[in-house]
Amino acid sequence: MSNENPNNTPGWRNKLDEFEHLPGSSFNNDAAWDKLYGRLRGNKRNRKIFWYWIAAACLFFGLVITFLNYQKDNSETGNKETALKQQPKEINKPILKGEKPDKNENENRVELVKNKIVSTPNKPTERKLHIVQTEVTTKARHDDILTTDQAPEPLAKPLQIINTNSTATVIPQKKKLNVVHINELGDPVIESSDITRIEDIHSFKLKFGNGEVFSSSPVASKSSGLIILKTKPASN
Amino acid sequence: MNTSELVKEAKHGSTAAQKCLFDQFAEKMLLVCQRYVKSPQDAEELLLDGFYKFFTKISSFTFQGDAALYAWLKRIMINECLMFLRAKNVFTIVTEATAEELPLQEEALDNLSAEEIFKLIVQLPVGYRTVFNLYAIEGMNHGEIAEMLNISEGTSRSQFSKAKILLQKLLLQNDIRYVKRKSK
Repeated sequence: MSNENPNNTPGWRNKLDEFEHLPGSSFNNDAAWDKLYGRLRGNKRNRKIFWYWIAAACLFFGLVITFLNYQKDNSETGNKETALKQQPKEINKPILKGEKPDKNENENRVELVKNKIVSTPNKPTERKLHIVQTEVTTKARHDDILTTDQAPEPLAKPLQIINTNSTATVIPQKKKLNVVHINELGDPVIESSDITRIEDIHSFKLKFGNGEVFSSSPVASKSSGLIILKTKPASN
Repeated sequence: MNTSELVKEAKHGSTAAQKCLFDQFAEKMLLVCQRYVKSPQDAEELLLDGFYKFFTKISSFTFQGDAALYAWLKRIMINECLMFLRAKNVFTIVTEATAEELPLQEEALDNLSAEEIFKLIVQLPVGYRTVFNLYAIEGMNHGEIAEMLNISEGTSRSQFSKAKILLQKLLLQNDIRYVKRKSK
């Protein structure tokens, strides 16, 4: 028998391989399985938890990036605003005749002002009051005034307080007056059907005792047969 | 359901199939662990560790018969036990100088029952027992054992020799006079 040759399997080895149960063993198969199952399930749960953590981390980074972008935008806005503040002379420079304001610049400024108003809606500021008092000739000028922090010039008239939430964002437009036909004396003539203009007689010139001269435009009433004369101070 | 189907189901994460495989092999594997580790608690813990590895790595296992599955599972258990023993550093006490080459009276063991052989092996000190298990039962050579246990080949030889001497002493102590019987 060779001790150094383990490949020839003696009977006792086979016996040992076939030996399946140790008598008197306290091994509980079900209890052991419960322990093992707990570990295996814990492993699965750990895997799930791992993926939850990954998802949470992604969400967190997404939020952080969004927040940083938001802050960056805000700081850029602030920088632009401070840059505008640092150049008040340039901003307040009057626009000369024939000089065209930079449209892009003006639009940016309008946006800045809008942002500012949105961020502080409950604070009506004095600056906004200037909009009312200052004659705004162009859109550009109006916006420039909005963005400046310069102290307002003392005004003769008392300031009219206006709700700036609605007015500050509205850009005033040039009012086009309706074309109204008025007579020379200033009152509109309501020409009813029973009134006829006397075309032949264009005007009268009247002189009263104090030397004042008036002109009139005669209008004839069909119903009453009267001639209506309206007067106004004549131009010299 | 046969073992092949059980393995297939266990690969898909079926708890029932895993339980069936565990029931089928647990006690055999516990005996393997107890041959290496004397303490029943440690052996049971190593059994669970081994099965845990088995079920987590089963996707990489290709079923080639019951014997292959048994061998793979047994190898996992042995590795778990060796890792445990290495952690305890039980092989450093033995010196090579005491190594002796003595023949093992295997006929004496052949006449014993499986339970008696098991009990004899378990009585060996941990170092002897480990080398004896690996060499005489698992069929490894001393080079492989030395590599696995991180010891020299000479140490492995000496451990095995000492294990044989002690085993014969134990046989004599148990009043089993196989040697005498053989000489008659």
